[in-house]
Amino acid sequence: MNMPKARGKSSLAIIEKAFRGAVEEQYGHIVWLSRVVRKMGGRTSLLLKGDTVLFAVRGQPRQSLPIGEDVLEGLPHYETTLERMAAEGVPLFAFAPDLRRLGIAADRLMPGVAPVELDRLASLCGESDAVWFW
Amino acid sequence: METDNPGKPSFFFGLMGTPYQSDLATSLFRMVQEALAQGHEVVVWTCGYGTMLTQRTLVRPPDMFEDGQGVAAHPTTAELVQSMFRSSRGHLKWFVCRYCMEERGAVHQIEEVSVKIPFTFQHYLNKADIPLVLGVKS
Repeated sequence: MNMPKARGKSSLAIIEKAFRGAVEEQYGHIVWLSRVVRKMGGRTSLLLKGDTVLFAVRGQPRQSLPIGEDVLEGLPHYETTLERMAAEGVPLFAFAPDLRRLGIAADRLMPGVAPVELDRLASLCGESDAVWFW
Repeated sequence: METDNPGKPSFFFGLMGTPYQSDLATSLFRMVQEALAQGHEVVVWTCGYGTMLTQRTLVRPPDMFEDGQGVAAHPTTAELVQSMFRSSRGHLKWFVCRYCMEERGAVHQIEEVSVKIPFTFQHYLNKADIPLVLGVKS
């Protein structure tokens, strides 16, 4: 895989607000932005909190939406973006209390996403130079 | 509302909530699409940041990081509205609140929509058989 050399400060991106407009965002959603950071050479990791832990449930079908004369095929598919990030070496985490709240067992998570308990959160933040909450 | 679809109730969808915050606008597109497909007359009224959905200056650049798998077209919301107009057989009207539009500088609208003074909101809402107001203005 031809990845750019990592440079700059390391960062942990925390995403808590899910589903911000499928028709508006399409490919350009907040998980994609973290992937862009990595593709640009940033040393980044990603923590899914709140309802965004649903992004990491394996086996979610792609959705399309007929609108007018067209069929909109490019709706967000977070699992695909996360799969690519995992393949590109981005550490991916999902907040375990939210997984339990939503009834998502660990075996339903896609490969490459690690559950993180509350007592690990502070140390996880401390492992990066910067923490984004976006 | 006068309609060439006797027996089919007309709809008024007032989008008050803000795009890019939730799937509210996606729900609007889905409901409008389905109502038109079933032959209903539909009026959409956008307020607040919803007025920005139909700007003719919207541009969606290609995904520079797409790996070639599942490459799809990515139309803007304005292009999607235009597509709905083309297939609506004249059953769709899309009104944009002038006050909100100008307040936000979203003054370059596609030609298919009509810009209305805010006081006519109630008029069009009352004309519809079924009015739905979606979201909270911000």
